[in-house]
Amino acid sequence: MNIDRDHDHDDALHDELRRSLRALRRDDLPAHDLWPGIRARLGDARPAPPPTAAAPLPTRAHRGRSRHMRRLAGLATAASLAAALAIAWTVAPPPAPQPAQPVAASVILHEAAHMTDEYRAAWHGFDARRPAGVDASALHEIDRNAAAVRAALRKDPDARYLFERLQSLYAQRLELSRRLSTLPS
Amino acid sequence: MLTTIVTALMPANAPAVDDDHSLVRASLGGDTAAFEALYRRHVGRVHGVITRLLGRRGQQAEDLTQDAFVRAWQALASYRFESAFGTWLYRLAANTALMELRRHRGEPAIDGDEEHFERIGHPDSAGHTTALAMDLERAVATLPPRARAVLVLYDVEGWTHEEIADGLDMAVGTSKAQLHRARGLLRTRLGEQA
Repeated sequence: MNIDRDHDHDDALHDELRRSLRALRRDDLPAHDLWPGIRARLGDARPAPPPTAAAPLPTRAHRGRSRHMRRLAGLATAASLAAALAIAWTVAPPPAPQPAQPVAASVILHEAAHMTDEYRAAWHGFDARRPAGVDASALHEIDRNAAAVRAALRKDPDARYLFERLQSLYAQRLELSRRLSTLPS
Repeated sequence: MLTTIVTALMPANAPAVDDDHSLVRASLGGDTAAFEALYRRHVGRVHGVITRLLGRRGQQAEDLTQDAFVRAWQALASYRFESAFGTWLYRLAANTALMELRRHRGEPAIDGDEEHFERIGHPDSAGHTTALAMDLERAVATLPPRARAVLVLYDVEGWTHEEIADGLDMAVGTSKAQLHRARGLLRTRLGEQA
């Protein structure tokens, strides 16, 4: 807490005004529930261990998307590329190291179904608030790609990378839904 | 489901600080439901300080609030349990907003263009608000960003000039000068409505 040594100077604020300024320090809830967007950005990773400290923020590119609608198209394109890669990998999976203990296929499929339900519930709230007339074609594109990845996952239920790709698409879908829901009609 | 977990993690009678520490420990283990509970507890404080520093509510304040919580998740291992988690998070949130202010420091619109900031300080004015109806919060919001940030940090948040200088990457003398300027502008603007 500071001690105002400027108080006796000519520019000192009146005590009442100083008290009023202090009273401005109050909680202020955002207009929207920000948790779904935060959750989507956390991924499945645990907090970084010390001494790594804070990883570089993914935020500026993130915020940039909100400021320039044209970049939303880039997001959808990235999602498409991600899905295309994922689907291609069903034919020629990348030479990734195999897990020491393969996860049961049914577990991955169950997790994918559960994740699908949770993400859908999250973005439906945003979709309901999306102003009429806003172009949602990018959302539809992501949905199509996610459907393709789910289909690929059903054919190859051991493919953990498909699950991860699906999760990435859902995170992008959720964030894009949130952005579109805040646009003016 | 998450709501159930969050509720279970927030016993009504337990001390808040102990609860926060338990939730932080759970979060460190990757428990996002615990982190959601921390979010629900502290989002008002985090969004509040960011809004005051930006001078307005809206999309940018919400984006930065999101950023602050993501940064908190990433940096959670650096929290030492020596102070209240809320204090640590509040400071991180303020620094997130200050980083944004610093990022725009070189841009022409940051200081000096007061007419511009009269506009952005009043996102909802649009002809509805006259100078006479301006209250203290709005008057603060119309200050140029760096002057406003110094005034908010000093007169509202209670930071020292040394802390402000560090947060805004400026000299202590500059912080004092900006405070002098901000108070003068504030008095002028409040005087205009008297």
